[in-house]
Amino acid sequence: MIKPLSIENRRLIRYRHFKSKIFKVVCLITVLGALLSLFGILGGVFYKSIPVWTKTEFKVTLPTDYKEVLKKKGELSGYHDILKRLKQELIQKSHLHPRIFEDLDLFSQGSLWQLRRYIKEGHISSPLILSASSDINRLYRLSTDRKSPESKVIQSFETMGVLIHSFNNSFFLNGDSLEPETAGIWGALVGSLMTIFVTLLISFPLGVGTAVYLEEFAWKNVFTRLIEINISNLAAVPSIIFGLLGLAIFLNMFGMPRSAPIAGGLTLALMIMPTIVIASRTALQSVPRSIRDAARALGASRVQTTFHHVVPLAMPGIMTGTILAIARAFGESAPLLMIGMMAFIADVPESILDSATVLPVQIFSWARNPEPQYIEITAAAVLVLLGMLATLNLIAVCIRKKFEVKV
Amino acid sequence: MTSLSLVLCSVLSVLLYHMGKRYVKRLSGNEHPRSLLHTYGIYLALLTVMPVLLGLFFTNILGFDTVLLGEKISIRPFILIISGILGFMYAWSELKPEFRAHKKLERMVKISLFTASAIAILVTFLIFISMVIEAARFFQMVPITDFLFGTQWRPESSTGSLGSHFGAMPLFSGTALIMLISLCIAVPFGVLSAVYMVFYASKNMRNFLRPMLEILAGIPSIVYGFFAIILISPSLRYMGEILGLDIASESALGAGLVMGVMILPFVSSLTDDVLTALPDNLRQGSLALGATSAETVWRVILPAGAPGIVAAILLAMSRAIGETMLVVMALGLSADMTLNPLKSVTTVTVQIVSLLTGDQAFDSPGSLSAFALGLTLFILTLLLNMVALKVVRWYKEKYD
Repeated sequence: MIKPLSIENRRLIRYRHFKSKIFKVVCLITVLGALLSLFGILGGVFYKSIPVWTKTEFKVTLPTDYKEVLKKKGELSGYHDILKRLKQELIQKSHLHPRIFEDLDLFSQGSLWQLRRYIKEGHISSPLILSASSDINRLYRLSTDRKSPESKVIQSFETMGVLIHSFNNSFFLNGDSLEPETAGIWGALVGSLMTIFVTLLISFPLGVGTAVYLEEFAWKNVFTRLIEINISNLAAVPSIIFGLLGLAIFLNMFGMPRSAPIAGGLTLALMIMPTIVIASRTALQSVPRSIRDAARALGASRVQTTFHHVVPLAMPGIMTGTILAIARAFGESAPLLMIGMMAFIADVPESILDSATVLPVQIFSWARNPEPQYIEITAAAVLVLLGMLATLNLIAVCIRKKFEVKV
Repeated sequence: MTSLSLVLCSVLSVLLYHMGKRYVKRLSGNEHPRSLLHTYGIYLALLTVMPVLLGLFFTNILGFDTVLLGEKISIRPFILIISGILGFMYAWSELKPEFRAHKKLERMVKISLFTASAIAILVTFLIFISMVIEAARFFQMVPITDFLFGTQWRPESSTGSLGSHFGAMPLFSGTALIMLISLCIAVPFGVLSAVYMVFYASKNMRNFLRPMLEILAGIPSIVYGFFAIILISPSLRYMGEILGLDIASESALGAGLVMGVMILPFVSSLTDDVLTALPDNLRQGSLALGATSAETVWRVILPAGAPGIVAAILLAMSRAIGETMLVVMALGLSADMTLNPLKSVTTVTVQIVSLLTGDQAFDSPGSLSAFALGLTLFILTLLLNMVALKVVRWYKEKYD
């Protein structure tokens, strides 16, 4: 006969099951915590970047006697004067009390250079577009509440037809500048693309060649073992060590131009090569042995079986691994800081030997500035970076799904 | 000059390919040559163009541009043309129907593959050498015991190099502090979330959660650094004001928290692999004997997978130590040797960056100390990784 459980034992069992349920909830909380931090990061960055996606500008006409003003007061103060007169005109036409505008800037600092460019290029008759100041930007954001005093300023300008609010394409098309309102990421994007191009050009043949050698051609001797140990150690070395390597060898010993995509690309290529080797080896190992045996049985040499049969079958895996490694290199900034990509580069690089900067380093140098406008453009640049990484990862996943051969 | 020669080489190689093919075809008449026809074409083109390209590369490095013949003509094009002609003549003399071109080509392929893999060793060698040389120069100026065990880190002081101290202990303690804080976040959250995903989650939830964690792993560290600046540090300071504590704006706690989130995916995915690799009969046996699922995980599964989890933690530690951008943005340069997470500390990587991106001459002890720090970091991460790999291998032998 089975003894019935005593009350204490039954209570104990219930207690143990209760603890088990608590444990499950605790584990769930940790998962939710991880998800919360992910969405917190993405959401926080997105929220900070919202002001950047639109821009406000003023549409003005040049006063007819601008040439005399420039001649009389010289270039710099002449432009200041013209801007002052444009401001007076706008205040008059808006029929608002001039005292509101005493501390208020209408035009941004960069509008000086825009004005100069318009005059130099001869656009004197058509209405000029000058970027609005950060004060106006701030007022525009506060003016969503129709009743606030700030919105009166914005409304009167809008009814006058001089205020344009549009998508901020200058963020994407301009290079870096000293002004947060006119700073853009184009220079950094071009530099990034050049650097990644050099990286791909060097790391892909080296990485895939090493993987093919290790998988298909190498004998099991000490040398092969040494190569394998080296690859797995290099894959775990922190990225800044590669920056030190680039500084000591590429810049000092080889004398490559500082802060150029070629030096940065070489450094990054050395950094991601172990990752490509490991991914390619996995892809090559997943090709079934029967393919190799059949090709050899039909008389193909080792090189022919490898390059005509094995490698094409492993190519989707190799490409996926390479794209993921490139995505990682795209977001790296520590090694590139070491080789000098920290300087303020305003021009778009034209060749791989010019000074350039890359998007992560651009983000880094903007992020050190605590002004709110800089934080906004940094957040927007971070979103662009994340967007490009997401695109690369999606391409890799699509390739993997499309070419997945069920063996 | 370079781009012109590259274009010429490509055009030339195509021409030579067809020329080689037709020549051997004509020579062999009605019979088949010993190799496939296209290999003869490739052989001719390769042996002609390769010396030119190699010559281009080496004359660039060795600077033959400046050696002039006469006044204005540099010697470089002549070298390239001569090497190309030599290669062509050698290849042409070999083109016969009995010649097995594919054998030679395959030999060249194997050699180039071997060279590619030897570069891996070369890179490790270069890293080591470059850092050892510069660090040796540094250790001539500052004795190694002062560096490793000194407690004052002041690379440049106002009295010039006489007053600068290069004791790296504050840096090591700062790095250790950040690493400990981040492990306090990453290990519980990572291991328990892996436990949830393997044992408690439904298939759909697991298919949703795994990509989410991969996304978390794929975010570059500079984004984490930015996040620490805009959200975590102000929030921590605000909470500190409410609680009456003085939390620095560049506190170790802020950086440690965000770094914990950053290395959480590593711990989680490695633990996930460990847990799925465990034989299922362990779990089933424990459940059959009446243990609850929590007791099974806590008393059977986790101890069984402990070596793998330890290896995962070691790898996460090495990642935390070597992390640069997050700490550069979230921490400052105050070399304070403290264990108080509410204060500001500095780490090894922050100092490397600040020493080499400041305006210091390359040979000054400040810049050279960065290489010494880099060497220390390299050796440390290498040791951690080797230990982790050994643990993983020992564990695999046990359970295979």
